Amino acid sequence: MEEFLVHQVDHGPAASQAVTHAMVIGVGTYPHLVGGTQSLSPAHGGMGQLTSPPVSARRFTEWLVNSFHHPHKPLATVSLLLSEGQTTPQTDVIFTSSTGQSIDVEYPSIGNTKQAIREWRRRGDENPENLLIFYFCGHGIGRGNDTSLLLADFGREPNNVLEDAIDFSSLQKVMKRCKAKEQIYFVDACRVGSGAIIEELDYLGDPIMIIPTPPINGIISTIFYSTLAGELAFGRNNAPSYFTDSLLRALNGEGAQDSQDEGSWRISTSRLKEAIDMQMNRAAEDGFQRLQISPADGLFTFEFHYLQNAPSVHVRVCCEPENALESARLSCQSPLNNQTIQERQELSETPWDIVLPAGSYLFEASFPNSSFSSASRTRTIRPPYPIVKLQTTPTS
Amino acid sequence: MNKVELHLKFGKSLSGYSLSADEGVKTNIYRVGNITKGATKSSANLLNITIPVGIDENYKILHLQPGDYLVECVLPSGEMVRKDIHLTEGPAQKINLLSESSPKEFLSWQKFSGELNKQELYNSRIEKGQKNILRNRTIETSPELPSDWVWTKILHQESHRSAVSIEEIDDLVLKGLIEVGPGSFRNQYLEEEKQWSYLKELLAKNESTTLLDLLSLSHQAYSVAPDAAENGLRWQKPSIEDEEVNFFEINHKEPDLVNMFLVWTPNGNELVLLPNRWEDIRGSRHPKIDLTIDLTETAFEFRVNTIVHNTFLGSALAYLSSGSLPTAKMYVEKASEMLFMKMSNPYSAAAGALILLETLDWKAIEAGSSEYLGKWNNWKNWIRNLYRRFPWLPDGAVLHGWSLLYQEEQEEAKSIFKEAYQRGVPLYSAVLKKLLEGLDSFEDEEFKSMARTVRSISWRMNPQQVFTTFRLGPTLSK
Repeated sequence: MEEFLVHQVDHGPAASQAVTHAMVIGVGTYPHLVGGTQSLSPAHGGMGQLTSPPVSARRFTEWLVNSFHHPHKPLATVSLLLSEGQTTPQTDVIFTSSTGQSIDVEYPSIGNTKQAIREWRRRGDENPENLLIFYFCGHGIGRGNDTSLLLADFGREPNNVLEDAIDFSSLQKVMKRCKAKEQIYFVDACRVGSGAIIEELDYLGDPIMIIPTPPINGIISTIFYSTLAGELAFGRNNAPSYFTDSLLRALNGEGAQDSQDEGSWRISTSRLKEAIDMQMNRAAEDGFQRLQISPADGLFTFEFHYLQNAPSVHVRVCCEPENALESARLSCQSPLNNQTIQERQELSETPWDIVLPAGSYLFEASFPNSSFSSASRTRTIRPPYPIVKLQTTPTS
Repeated sequence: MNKVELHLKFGKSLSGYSLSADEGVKTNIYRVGNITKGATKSSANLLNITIPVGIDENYKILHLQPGDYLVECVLPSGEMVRKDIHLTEGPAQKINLLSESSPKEFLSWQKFSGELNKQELYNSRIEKGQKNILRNRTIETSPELPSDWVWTKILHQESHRSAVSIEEIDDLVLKGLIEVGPGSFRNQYLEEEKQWSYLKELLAKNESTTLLDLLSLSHQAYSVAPDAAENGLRWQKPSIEDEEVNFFEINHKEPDLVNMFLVWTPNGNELVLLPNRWEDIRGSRHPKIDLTIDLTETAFEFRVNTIVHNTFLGSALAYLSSGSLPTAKMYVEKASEMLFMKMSNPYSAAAGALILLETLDWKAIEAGSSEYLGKWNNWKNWIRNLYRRFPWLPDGAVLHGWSLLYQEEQEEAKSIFKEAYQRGVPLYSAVLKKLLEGLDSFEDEEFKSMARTVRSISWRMNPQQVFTTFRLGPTLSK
């Protein structure tokens, strides 16, 4: 397998078969930031070590390798760079492939990152119909719409604090000179201003490539950011970040739509955005500290992932009025034969969250203490994130 | 089996306005049943249609086979409203989809377009007693900005572009708007003197990088700060005011130009570019422009949002501001009409041109589709005319530059982008971004210098707003 790759499948001559190439970077260990093992950079800005990005990047890579399906552009390569947990660079980091093979994963230094991204772009150039996917999770800083993605050695060079960072805006500009017409970028990083960016006006890091040719017309470059410009993005300890979790839920079905024929479930970029938005809102409603809004840029609609089965849908069942919920027993039945599929016997004031295959169901609320009238409703369950509200009235 | 006539609409009042079927909200209609198996094309879903919005009797009329359907509306705010319906043979059936009501009825447009969602969420969480909600933000020291920024001009029509000394500032409309000093860009209100102040060290004029070199000559300045000094400043009080929002209605009948509003907010000042008026090209009605200042504490940097009550453009601008280009694409026909009607409303013509350029069907162009190439030919000509006939509107030049780039007319595009830079800051934030991308397309030092300046400005821009909105003053940190 070529360097940096954790997945490689030969689908025949590149010029005749369009394929998908992915580039995944997860940066959790920053030796020159707070808590790091090397000299602390004066530009640390309070940033420290992260546990979420390597987990997030691994989960995204696992999804690509195990679940991504595009019948016209099958997955050909996945490049992966990770820094996680180890106290020094070059400590072995392993990715286990779908066949059980243990593959060494390279460290996201600026040198490795440049080489890996250039090779990813070169593969994209092999066929204009290729699909390119880029994913980054780690620290980021930004001003306005410009974002700098911080690689593992950020802060290493005191004379140029951004030497180990990717100027994502410039990368975007140069990728519009890549022949692959469909490109999707997932940027799971903060985008707040900091002294480093403010003082380094007109420089946001390494552009990775400089290609002095005009942009190619018709390149679709869709970027999903985890947070608004100027805002923070949030991870979770040793778990996928909120954005990556929302993204994976959407990719696994909540972002699916059977747009062409009934039963042919596909993920499009625009539907993906809608599903991510809904899940991020739900996370905030469920008590996450703050609302994180995930904007998109250059959001053109195209389908890029085909589900091989009908999606399972996260359904939230509640009552109206809300206070009826704490007295309600809830059930979900088949509308054809009233057979109970799932039920919640215990009383709780929180909504009932269940997962159901897409379809039609009969939802019922009954009240053992007769405080409210029974309620039932047949609903069609489709992604994303339907909410079933059972209308009831107090009996007294 | 005979088809059933379905009348469909989204029943929400938008501050007394309504949107027609081709201006309304994105709607999908799914046939229910057999959704886990393949089915024939006759039961295909209806996707990306638009239905009217309003409380009048205007409906979208569809003819569907009897059966079960799920209707799904995706609002510009991202809210999704769904309803199961069952169609049986017989008389026409009317379905009126409803969403949550706005917390304040005069903000229904804002709720519809998604400006209010963030605040509502915070409020609902506060009401539920959730703790640990970060509401306060500390203010950093002043940011760096290019040291050659300067206000050199009185922003009213009789003025001329030239450097002015500090003494001359006293006579100018701009007194008190901006305080400029080396390395800072902030505003200061002197409590004792009851007037705005400015530093004596005005930055030196630089022809290619002054902010006003980037602004149209016909910009005017208004302040909507509630306590702004009156000397030479035109200002207005909020139409509606409470502890959460200040709401201004702006409706002028003066000649075409781009207005610039300085808005005071608890976080600092924001500078908002707005059309002077917005004529509904299908009628004589002059829709209003709402400017809303969110006075509550939120975790977001920008507090100003603007909405044009425009029935013709309808929700397209709202979808565009949320970054939802594929939905904006549904309005291509309308966008084309807007561009054609530029003499009536150049502002909406620029929006139309933006939508058309951003949603070009390259596959049709590359395939040589004569029908599409005919449309593209018309659009190119109309965009060029927008650029030529409205020299005070920077957006026309930017969009014409991109039109030329798409036609691979590099040299001509280059001179147009330079002119675009000289015309000023575009009205639409998306067009400001296109200006930067355009300048970035060329490797000359001169263009790199222009791009640097525009990039600096873009760093202060609120990308979530349709109209260009800058944040002035110190940046905020978390």
